[in-house]
Amino acid sequence: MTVPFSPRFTSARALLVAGILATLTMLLSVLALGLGAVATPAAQVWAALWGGGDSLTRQLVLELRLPRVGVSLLCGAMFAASGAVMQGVIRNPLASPDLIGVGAGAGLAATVFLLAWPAAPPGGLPWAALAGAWGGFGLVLLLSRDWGGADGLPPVRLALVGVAVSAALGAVQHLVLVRAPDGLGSALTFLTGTVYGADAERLWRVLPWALVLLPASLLLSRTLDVLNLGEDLATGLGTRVNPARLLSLGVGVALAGAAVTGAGLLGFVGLLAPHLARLLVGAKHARTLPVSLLLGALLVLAADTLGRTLLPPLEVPAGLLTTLVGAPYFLYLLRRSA
Amino acid sequence: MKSRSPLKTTLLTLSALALLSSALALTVKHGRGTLELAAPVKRVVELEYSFLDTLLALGITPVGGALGTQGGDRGAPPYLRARTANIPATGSRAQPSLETIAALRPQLILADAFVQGEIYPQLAKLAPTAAFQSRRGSLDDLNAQTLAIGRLVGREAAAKQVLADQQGLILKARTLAKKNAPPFVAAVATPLSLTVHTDQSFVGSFLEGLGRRNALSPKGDQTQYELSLEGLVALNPQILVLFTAPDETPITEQWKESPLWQKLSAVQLGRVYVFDRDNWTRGRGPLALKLMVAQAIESRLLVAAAPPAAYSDKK
Repeated sequence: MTVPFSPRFTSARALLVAGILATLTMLLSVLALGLGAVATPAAQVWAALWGGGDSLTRQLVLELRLPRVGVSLLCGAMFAASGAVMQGVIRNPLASPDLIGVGAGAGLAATVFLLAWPAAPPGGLPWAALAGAWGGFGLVLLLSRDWGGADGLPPVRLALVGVAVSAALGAVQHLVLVRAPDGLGSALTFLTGTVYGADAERLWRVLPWALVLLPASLLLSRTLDVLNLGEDLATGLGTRVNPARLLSLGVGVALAGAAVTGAGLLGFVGLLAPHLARLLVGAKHARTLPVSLLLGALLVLAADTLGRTLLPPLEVPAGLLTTLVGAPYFLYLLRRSA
Repeated sequence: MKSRSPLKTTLLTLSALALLSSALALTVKHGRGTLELAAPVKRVVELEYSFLDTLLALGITPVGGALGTQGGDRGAPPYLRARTANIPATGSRAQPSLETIAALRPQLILADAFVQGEIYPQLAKLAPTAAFQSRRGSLDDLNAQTLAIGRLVGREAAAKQVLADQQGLILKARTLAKKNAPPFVAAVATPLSLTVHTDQSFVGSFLEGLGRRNALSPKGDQTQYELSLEGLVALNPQILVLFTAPDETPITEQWKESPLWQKLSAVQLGRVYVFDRDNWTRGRGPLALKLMVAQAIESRLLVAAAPPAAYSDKK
């Protein structure tokens, strides 16, 4: 990508950065457990974590804050991983789940799913979102394919078509919501990008996906490095380019789909985290990916914690805060690449 | 008969037990199932203004309520403000702060089945929660809720009394209503939209209860829906009832500049009535109702006569 392999990005540096980020994430997680609309003294929070404390603190910390912290961390990490994988495969700095049809497809599918089957068991939603994520991305893939040539996927066209398809799918979702019976609109508030109301149930819904997909994305780092060298060189190195791309994209899409069901469309996390990671540790995926995950988790957790504590008892959606940070950076990227 | 037969004794015991349990356990049906309480409760958190109005009418002050004034909420309606100043706010109605609610240690949460439908499971984990159709409910629905809430807080007799008084008031007002007056269109006008309230909405069914006819019935299952100026012209009501807020410039102010608006029968006949939307469409409880009956009479809406300046749209 734009940041070259350079001697200043060493493994030692990557380890150091990852260590610092992991420590920061841990500290912020503990802090997030202690902060909220209701003041809880640190000693009480500590006691609650070890099974003691009074029942109110236990309820606040274990039932309300802990699931929120967990969902924030997992969804942030998944969005970041999804963005890192997609930017690696598409070789486009602007690629991220919210920009290439994946997020919009998942959102639309979740809407239609809830509309068609209001009494569906909670475990069904991620599958619907995943199908939608694939549907949205498949549409982008289909439309951006160069039917004449043997090239497969031209990166620039993929990103452009992705933006157009996202807009179209978003419009269809709005149309469905306008035509939907009253009440579905509010049932989908979480799709706008917020960790509000996340409970243990939602955490358990997201956790299995994260446990499979996050390690899978890390295993892909070598493949992504090779793909990053460009089609000809990758083929020359003995990689079957199209299957490798499809596999990587499959993981990326699934990550985004699962993350959407946990916290909705958290704007720009999938764009911002991999970029910051490359600035910190360079473009080698074995280093970028873990650092991206940590950055994504940290970003969303910070946004949600801030959202909970900014104007209590009012809740500011985390997606709003990540978009506030992400949108200017996106504009900067656009200006730079123009 | 010297001794009772064993069967008879068992039956007696059973029926006595049944009586006892029905006196002890409180069961109330609501939008998400049946709520069972062992005994009436006193610590209540309400998440919609109609519940606040109802509780206050029954002599119960909630321990917390969705009384925030940020994020699209406008706080308690003006007629309740003096009585709610000391009630802790639990954030917005759409996303109430679960932490704040938990810290208030409520024994009962009153939620809207529509607005808080999605977070019902989370609320139910904090305290027994009843979800009623308040925002989308009709006058009959809201009255049934008054009775149900009365039972939950151990004020059933008071609730019955409140409803009886209200019924008497409405019947009395009804005798004033002009017979065969043309049907009305009632709508909330905000700066951005006009939303009509059909005969199944609270305010729409209330005015029907006063003996006037609502021109609109629900569209599908929507008891309230948006209408454009053209849509309003197509209906061409002879009587138009608008609900606006004094601190907002309603969309109808823009529409007034259009010749289409001037052609509306209600405008030409001078039968456009304006009421405070916070008091009329947000309170939706027994206290709001008293105020609404008085204003329906005072505004001369009931007799379909030209409104006095206080209720006219010509300011």
